[in-house]
Amino acid sequence: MHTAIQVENLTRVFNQRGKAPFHALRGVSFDVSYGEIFGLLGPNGAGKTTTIKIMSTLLLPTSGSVAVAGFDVEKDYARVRPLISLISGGETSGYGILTVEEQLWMFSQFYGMETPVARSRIEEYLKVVGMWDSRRQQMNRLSTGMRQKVNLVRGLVTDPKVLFLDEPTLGVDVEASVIIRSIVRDWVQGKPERSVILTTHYMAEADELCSRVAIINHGLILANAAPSQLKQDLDSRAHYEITVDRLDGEQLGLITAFMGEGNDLVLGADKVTNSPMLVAHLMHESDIARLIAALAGQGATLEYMRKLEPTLEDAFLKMVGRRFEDEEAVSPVS
Amino acid sequence: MKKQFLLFLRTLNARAYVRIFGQMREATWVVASVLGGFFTMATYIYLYRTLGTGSEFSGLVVLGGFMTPFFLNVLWGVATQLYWEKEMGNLELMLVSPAPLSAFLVGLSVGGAMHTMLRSLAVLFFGIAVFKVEFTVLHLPLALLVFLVTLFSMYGLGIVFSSLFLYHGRDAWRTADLVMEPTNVLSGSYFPARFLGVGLLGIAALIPTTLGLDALRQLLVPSFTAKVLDWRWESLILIGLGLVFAFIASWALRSVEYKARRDARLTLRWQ
Amino acid sequence: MKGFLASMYVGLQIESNWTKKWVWLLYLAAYPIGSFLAVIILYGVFGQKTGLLPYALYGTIFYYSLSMVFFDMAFSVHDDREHYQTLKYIFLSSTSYRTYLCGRAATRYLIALAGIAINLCWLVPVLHLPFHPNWAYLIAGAVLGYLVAAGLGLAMASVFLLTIKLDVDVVDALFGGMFVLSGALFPPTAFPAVFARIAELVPMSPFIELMRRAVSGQILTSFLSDLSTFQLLNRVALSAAVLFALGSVLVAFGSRKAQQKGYIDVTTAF
Ligand SMILES: Nc1ncnc2c1ncn2[C@@H]1O[C@H](COP(=O)(O)OP(=O)(O)OP(=O)(O)O)[C@@H](O)[C@H]1O
Ligand SMILES: [Mg+2]
Repeated sequence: MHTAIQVENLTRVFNQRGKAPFHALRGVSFDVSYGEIFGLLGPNGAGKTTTIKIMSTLLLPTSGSVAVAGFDVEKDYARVRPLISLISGGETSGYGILTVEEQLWMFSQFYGMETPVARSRIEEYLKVVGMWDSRRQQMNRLSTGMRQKVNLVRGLVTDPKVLFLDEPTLGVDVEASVIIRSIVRDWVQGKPERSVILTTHYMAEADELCSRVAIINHGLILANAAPSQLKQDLDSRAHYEITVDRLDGEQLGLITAFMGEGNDLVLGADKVTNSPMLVAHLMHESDIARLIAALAGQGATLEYMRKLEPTLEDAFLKMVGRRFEDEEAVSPVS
Repeated sequence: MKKQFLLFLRTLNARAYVRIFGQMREATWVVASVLGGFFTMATYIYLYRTLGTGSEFSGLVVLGGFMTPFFLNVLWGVATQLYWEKEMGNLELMLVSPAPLSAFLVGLSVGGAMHTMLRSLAVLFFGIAVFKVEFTVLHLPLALLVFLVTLFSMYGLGIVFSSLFLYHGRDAWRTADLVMEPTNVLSGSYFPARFLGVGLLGIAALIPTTLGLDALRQLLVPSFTAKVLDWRWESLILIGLGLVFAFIASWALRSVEYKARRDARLTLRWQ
Repeated sequence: MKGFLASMYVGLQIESNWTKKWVWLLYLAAYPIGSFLAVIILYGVFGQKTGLLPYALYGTIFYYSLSMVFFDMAFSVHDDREHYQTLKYIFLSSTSYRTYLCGRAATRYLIALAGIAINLCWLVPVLHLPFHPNWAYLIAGAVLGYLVAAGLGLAMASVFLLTIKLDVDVVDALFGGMFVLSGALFPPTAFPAVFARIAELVPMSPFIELMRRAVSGQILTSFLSDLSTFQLLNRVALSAAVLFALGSVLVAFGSRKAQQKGYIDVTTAF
């Protein structure tokens, strides 16, 4: 069976009058299997929306190829379109004067759905997102979060194989975001031939939803792996933050020597209490017992301790930041 | 094939529905149509009285007043629509959907024509009931047919324009604004097109209302003699024009979609 | 004053930034032609013996100049709210909405007058129009005319601010009605007596007649001929004062109400 999405060596150059050509994508490759929620992460202007637009047939690649459900987006776009839906955050699409129900019906017609089928799906999904009671509301009276839920329903009603979500929770409150995320997750699992491509600036969202994420910056993919993998690659050691009542530099030196090679200790101060705070990067999780014993040996009393879990955000920042430096050192490409 | 056809029809129907019922919600359009119709008619009637052109002119201009709203609807409603959809962020979703752009536009044309009908009927009503302009009812079915042929041709032209508007954005918008009234004058809304002379007529005949109006006048106003061609010929030409426009339109829409995808102009707003 | 000039500049940007400067100048000159082309053909060909060509031509072009003002004002609300979606930011700025509208429309008006001036350069010799301008009346009339149109435009803008269901064609219809009644196209003496009287009271009528006389140096028809040019000017001044004050009050009220109702950033497209 073909994969849901196959992107190979994709580039896109924007020509603007009176300006140098801009290389928004510079050789992007990845693929997405059915059943996956694939995340595209990257800073503003990285090329995420550009990639989504190309995959959803709105924009042509400059070079490279993209296949959606086995069809080329350039040549076979007419076959791709019935199989996809696109939902962008902050979009104010549709016609303000229509009711929620009418608007959704209208879009379903653009996919050639039979009205009774469309109506029952609209009802089903409106109930899922908790908007059934608002079905007679006019679109221009809805809040951002409500509108985004309606947009999500619009995307799902046509039963696509591939759902493109470009920052779907932009401007949406916590509760609505939770609803949107859980619906997306359930939706992918609902049928075998479904997949989602998601861009977001919320790392927690990507971490929670995506089976894989690609980190993209300046039109290049810097990493492509499962979020857990990315976090692990960041630094596989165990990290702890320990606040004690007293500890000086000399004592720290002694403890560091005692802990041995590969374990790093950094001394700082707690922002609130101003007590000495130790950040420890340990080769083995079990070394924490030795560390505590060593601290006790120096007469320091433990005030507070917590284990630091690396976040996707750490991985992201490290990756994007590093790449940025590399690039400036190497060459101003484009 | 059948699936494609159904898709086309469903899209057409949905777009027309939105146009018609969306409009219904803004009830003031009725006021606008009726008032507008009345003032148009009053302007024409008294203008021609002042000009002293005799009463047979009145019948002609009532028909001119009847057709003008369709002319305006084609230019403002249909030709600019894709541009507006783009500005509102809808074009993206229309393109991502499997429905062809032409289905949206035909739907919009049907909806727009129905909505415009009220204004045009208001013109007719005031012309006949208030200003006592006479028509022969004899050829009514034929006239209706000619009218439909004219609409077909007109809206075909509108769809051709819509692709131009989409691609050229504000430039096209300004151009349309500029040429609208002069073309309306040329198409014979205010006087029989024959008076334009052969040269201008050649150009004016490309605007379907020119021949359409001329044919309608032949069929409905008994005293009308300043015809351009026999109405049968004119109807045939209109059908021909309509087919040519439809052909150009379908080609132009595809080409403009391709170009816009290539040059990234489909989703660029406020340009 | 600063806000007004800034708004005029915004107006100029909106009007001109879509193309190159020389194209825009051509456009500026060509645009008014649509307003008087029909008049030339109708009065030049079919109604030659009426001798009303100068009357109708001057009437139409000056009506056109006013229409630019009130259409701009009425549609600004719609355009800024629905299309550019910037209405809310204008409301937040320190410039009052009235000043903003007036500034934008003033630019439109000046552009229209410039277009008219350019066209008169060929219309006068080609059509043998009477042309003996009285500059004092012309300038005074132009300024007062702007205020008349702005008053009406502001009133219309306030209606748009307060409704989101008003079809823009209503404005077309209303101003279409004023066009007939103002006697721009033909002397209202053609109307039944009642309407002829109403025509004299339409605020645009004295302005248009004033401008006709100020340009041609003649009294062209019997319409409003019982008034001296100076009396006409007074009348225009009076309607300018009344309408502009009324428009200002309405638009201030409309802005406040629209904010209360949350109509500043709704969109209704269909
Ligand atoms: N039509 C266009 N013409 C010129 N440049 C463009 C065009 N569209 C996008 N770009 C440029 O391409 C780059 C990538 O844009 P893109 O929208 O893909 O970024 P993004 O990753 O989605 O960013 P964000 O997180 O801000 O949404 C940007 O620098 C943008 O300025
Ligand atoms: Mg983006």
